Amino acid sequence: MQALLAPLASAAVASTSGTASAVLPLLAQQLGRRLYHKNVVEHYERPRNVGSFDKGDPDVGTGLVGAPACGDVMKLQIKVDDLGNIVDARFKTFGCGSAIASSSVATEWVKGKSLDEVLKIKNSDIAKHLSLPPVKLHCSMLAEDAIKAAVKDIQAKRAAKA
Amino acid sequence: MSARRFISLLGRRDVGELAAAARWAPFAASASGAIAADACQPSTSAPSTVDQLLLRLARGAPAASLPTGLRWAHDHACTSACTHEDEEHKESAARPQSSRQRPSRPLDDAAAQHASGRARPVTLEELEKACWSCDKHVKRGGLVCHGCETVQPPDDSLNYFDLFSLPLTFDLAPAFLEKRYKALQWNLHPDKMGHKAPEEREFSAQQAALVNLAYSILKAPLSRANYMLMLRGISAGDNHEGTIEDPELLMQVLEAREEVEDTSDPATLSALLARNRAQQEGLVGQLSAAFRDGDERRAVGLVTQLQYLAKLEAEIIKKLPQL
Repeated sequence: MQALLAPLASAAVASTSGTASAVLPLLAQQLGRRLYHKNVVEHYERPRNVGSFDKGDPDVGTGLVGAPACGDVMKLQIKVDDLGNIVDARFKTFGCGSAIASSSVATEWVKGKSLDEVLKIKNSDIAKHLSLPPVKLHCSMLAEDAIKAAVKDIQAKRAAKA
Repeated sequence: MSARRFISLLGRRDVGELAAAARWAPFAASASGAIAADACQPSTSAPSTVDQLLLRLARGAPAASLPTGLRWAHDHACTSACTHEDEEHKESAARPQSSRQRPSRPLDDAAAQHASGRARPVTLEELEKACWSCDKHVKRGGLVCHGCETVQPPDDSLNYFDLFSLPLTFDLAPAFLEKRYKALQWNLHPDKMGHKAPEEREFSAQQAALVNLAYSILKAPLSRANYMLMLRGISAGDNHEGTIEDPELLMQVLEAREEVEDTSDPATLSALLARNRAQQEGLVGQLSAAFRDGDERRAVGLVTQLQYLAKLEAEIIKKLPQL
């Protein structure tokens, strides 16, 4: 018990803010448990941009992807202006906390970027931001694929219109 | 063909390893002699050093049948396993063919021969599968030795269908599977091994765990289908590592999931569950047809749909714990 408390005590002394959140990951490590990263919890409890756009809207691109292995499905929609910049995004995901958080992060990151820029968003960036463990990396992959699918959809719509 | 190649085809062991096992020490000496001589003579009269090695490996086979048997084992190893491409073989093939016999009995018939009473030589591979307790030969994939009735360690080369002695088909009667399962556990379960040796108890625990796992996989149609596809090298369903973009299917899944999410009324949820289970049954019927037709692509598509339906069922049940 002493051995367990000693590093915690030093951590509490070392951290400037002295909040429990600094100690919690260390505690989890000591006890060998894995907690969701606070970013994941944040996006899960307060997800941004949940909802839908009208699929038939010519300015809306819809990306619909799924992962059969875990039965997850993710819908990501982007609203694009005439210059090819994404002005708004919505998502709807049925899956685990990591999948929901990944798609929530994706909708935040695509806003204000051009279609070419968002294609550069990699699943590894999302995974790093959320500190996803190896077993949940496919959730971030799903989000990347959803972005790409949405971009493909809007480009097809624009090409058909032209 | 050189004796070296022949011995490597026998058991994929090098002579050094042979020498290490004390039991094989006398044989190793003759084997190294054979390699040194590097001669392989398929003669019927004077047995070569390699034939002498086979003679001792045969271990007490009736003397009358021995020469034929040896020639069979030799020719089998040479003609069926050889690709006829290496230099050594080209040399030996150039030699007069008169003394060589075509093998009349393939290796798979060995069991049949044994049953019919005719003796055949024993290969190193088979001796590797000898019972750890009595040294008798366990039938390939045997869970229990025929000679001394001791439990054997699990055989990695068996798939779950082989384990249950079932044909590799999707259609499986659940009652029959359960009967086989209970029969297996009757012989293997650790609870029946109280008075046996520690090694046997260990093997029994491993075998029983394997049989449990195999039973759970084979029992449910979805996992059975996933397993069968995995055996054919196709990653689908559970083993599917990537993402899919089937718009029609995913839209249906999305709407179905939303339907479940939007309601908390038990009656509605029960109705949704009943509909879901009926859909699953329909898909299982289609899967059965797909496997029978050998249509793997159709099977993969159906398995994907079934995965999503199974997930949906789990979600409904989560909302309805009393069901």
